Amino acid sequence: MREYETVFILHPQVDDAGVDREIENVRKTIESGDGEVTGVHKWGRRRLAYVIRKATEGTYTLIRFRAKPEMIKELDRRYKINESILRHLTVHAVGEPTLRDFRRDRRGGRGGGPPGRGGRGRFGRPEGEGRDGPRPPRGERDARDPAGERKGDSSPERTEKREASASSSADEKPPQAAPES
Amino acid sequence: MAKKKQPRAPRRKVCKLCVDRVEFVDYKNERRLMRALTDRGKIVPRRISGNCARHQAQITRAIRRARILALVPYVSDSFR
Repeated sequence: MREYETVFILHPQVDDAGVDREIENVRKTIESGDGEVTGVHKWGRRRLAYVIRKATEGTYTLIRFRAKPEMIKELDRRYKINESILRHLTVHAVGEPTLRDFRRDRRGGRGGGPPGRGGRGRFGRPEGEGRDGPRPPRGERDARDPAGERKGDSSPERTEKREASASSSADEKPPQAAPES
Repeated sequence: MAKKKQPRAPRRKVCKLCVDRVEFVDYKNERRLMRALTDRGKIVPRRISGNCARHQAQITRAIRRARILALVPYVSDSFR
């Protein structure tokens, strides 16, 4: 017996009673295979990241259970037969179940503005932040004070070099010019 | 004064997840996963993000799972 978790997305037309019915179906499937349901988490409705069978929303449900590995095949088979299930995923469970409630998420996103929009607006930004932004320095500042010193040191060096090169070029040119003339 | 090319000091990238002490990347945490995607919806390569191999593998796996469940896009809406 191993602990698994399975998520399935129901078609938005399925009502609350229908959702409960589907949950019961999965529970029966698991228990018929000598398994044991350890947790049911209704995530609620959420916008899909892409359209599935013309649906833009779906009702997510997560079920944690313990079962024999062979049972997964049967569960998968039943998922596939069920027309009201848009998507399903069954994986080995790791750690504690994540309690998600998309309804809360959505409210926060819409009402707050920044959280919801931030998700999209953030798309490219984090990379930028990672590259030149405050992040890596913050983590490393303690360890990398020398780098700061280096920067400080380098500018005087550069000016010295500049002066050196300028003087050298100045020195070189006249001699070159002199022989030519 | 002529502009001189000042050599940029190479910035060493650090795995963000190591900095945050992330033990496990969950496929259900789509907020976090979104940050590992480009604006087109591609997974940001390690060469760019600077993530360590262990965490990059976890991210990749999580994103692939999340894509199945339509938590995260295969291709971003704006590019479809």
